[in-house]
Amino acid sequence: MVIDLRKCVGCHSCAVACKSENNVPLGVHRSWVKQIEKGTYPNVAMPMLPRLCNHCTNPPCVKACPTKASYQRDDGVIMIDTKYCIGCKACIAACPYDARFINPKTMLADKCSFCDHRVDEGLEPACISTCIGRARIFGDIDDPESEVSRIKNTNNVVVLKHEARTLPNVFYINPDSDVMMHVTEGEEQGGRTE
Amino acid sequence: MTITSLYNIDHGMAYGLIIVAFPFFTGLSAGSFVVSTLSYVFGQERYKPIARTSVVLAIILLFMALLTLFADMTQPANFYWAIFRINPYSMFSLAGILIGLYLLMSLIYGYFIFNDNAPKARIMGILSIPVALAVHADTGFVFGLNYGTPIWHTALMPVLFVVSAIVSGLALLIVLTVIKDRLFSVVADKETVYSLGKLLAAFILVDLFLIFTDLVTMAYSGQEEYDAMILLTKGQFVVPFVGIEIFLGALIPVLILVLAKKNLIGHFIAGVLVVIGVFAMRYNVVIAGQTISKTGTGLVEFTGLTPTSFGYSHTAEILVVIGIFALGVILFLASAKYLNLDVVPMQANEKTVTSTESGQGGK
Repeated sequence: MVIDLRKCVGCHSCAVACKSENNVPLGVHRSWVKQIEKGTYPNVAMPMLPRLCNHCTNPPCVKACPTKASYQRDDGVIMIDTKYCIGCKACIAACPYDARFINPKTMLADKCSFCDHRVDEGLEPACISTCIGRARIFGDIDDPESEVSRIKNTNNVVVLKHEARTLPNVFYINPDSDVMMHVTEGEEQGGRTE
Repeated sequence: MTITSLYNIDHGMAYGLIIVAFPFFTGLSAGSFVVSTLSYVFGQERYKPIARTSVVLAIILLFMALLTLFADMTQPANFYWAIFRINPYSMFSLAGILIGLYLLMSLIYGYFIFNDNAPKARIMGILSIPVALAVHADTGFVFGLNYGTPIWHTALMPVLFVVSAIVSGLALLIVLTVIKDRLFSVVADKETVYSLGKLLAAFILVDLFLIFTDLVTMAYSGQEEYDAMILLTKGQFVVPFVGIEIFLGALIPVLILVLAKKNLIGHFIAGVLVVIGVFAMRYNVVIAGQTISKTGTGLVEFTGLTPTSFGYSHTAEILVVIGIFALGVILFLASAKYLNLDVVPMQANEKTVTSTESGQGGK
């Protein structure tokens, strides 16, 4: 997936579509939009960063799972086989992106699945089809002729925590560095994330 | 430039107080086990009087550690998949196997000790020490291999865990030996306690050095590591880290142990302080580690695992830990009553008689 932040307007409709498509309970999110404020008036900006599971090529969560409930599909999508999940939370601790959580309804580990039920039917994931600026592009990154490959290969793309060697498969075009990284809030330690 | 976070999702902390208790119990267990092998494997005869107590303690604490693991799972009924679908890359998977193996081996080892079978106990002890240490080193790896958490992600983590395990095991045995001396009128071998005290002081100093190197490395690393170091030394965790873990749990006990070499009560106080300090160390690792937000700009608040997201409230978590702790105390008291913990094996007969009498005095 490529997310073109030049086209993102910050409407949060991807988060809403994901919630309703996947029946994600209150309090937890498979997909959301991180927003920060930076600078002092009048030189300010409000960068945004749509977030979801990165479906890493080298996934730490799959390595951490003691029952192989988390696995990588042949097409690269990271999935959870709920039958085998024991709820030990090792994958949640292992994920450097905070993409995983315990679903309070099922009490199982849960995360974005790239809408596998839709993709298998030939549809786009819910967040893609709802994006009003067409900022999100989804497809087969291995196919050099696909739209997602062309956009990824002809633009300057970055990934979250490149240094973690997780090789994420969600690429961002033109994101703000402060919204991408862990930054100490304010001048001293003590602020908290909303 | 000021940066304010407007909106971000933090899914809270995956691990709460129950997982703070898990390495605490496995650490105490591994430490007690190593102490119990001092006489049978390393031939230190003066530690023989505590060999039985420590092996019983090691088994009970391991059982408690297993209970904490089960209590923390959200699907404990599925646990058997962890046995049938082993993932060799997962430290959590290995932890389960190692704990099972260690439980089995320490039961056999305890059986030999209680049957006064010193040669077999020696062989079993030699085989079990690596497993006991591996259990705890693996607990260190469970935390240490998570890239996203700066306090955890260090090569020192397994070493720190093993050293603090031995520290806490020694301290707990000093405490229990003195308690038995006072409450059950079993005359404690004072020399045993004092030599345990010397060992304890040495291991605390090693532990302090490791913590120091860890902090210095964090201070010279990236932004997240630096934030973590500030969090521990100046921020929210200054009381549990500098106050309890370093001063109360390490520096003061070392002073007591060095200054009051021949004082049983001094050793008792030092032991209690060290056990509290090691619990604070586990708290600082597990909770402070998760306080640095992985993707956000600030800190994650430790509100406990809320009922809506993880099934346990903060209070329930504390109660679960207290319950498991209480179960351990009951098991230990029961074993002190029904097993002959104070018999000094392979020694003169009159010694056995005295300890049997004193065992009756305890009832």
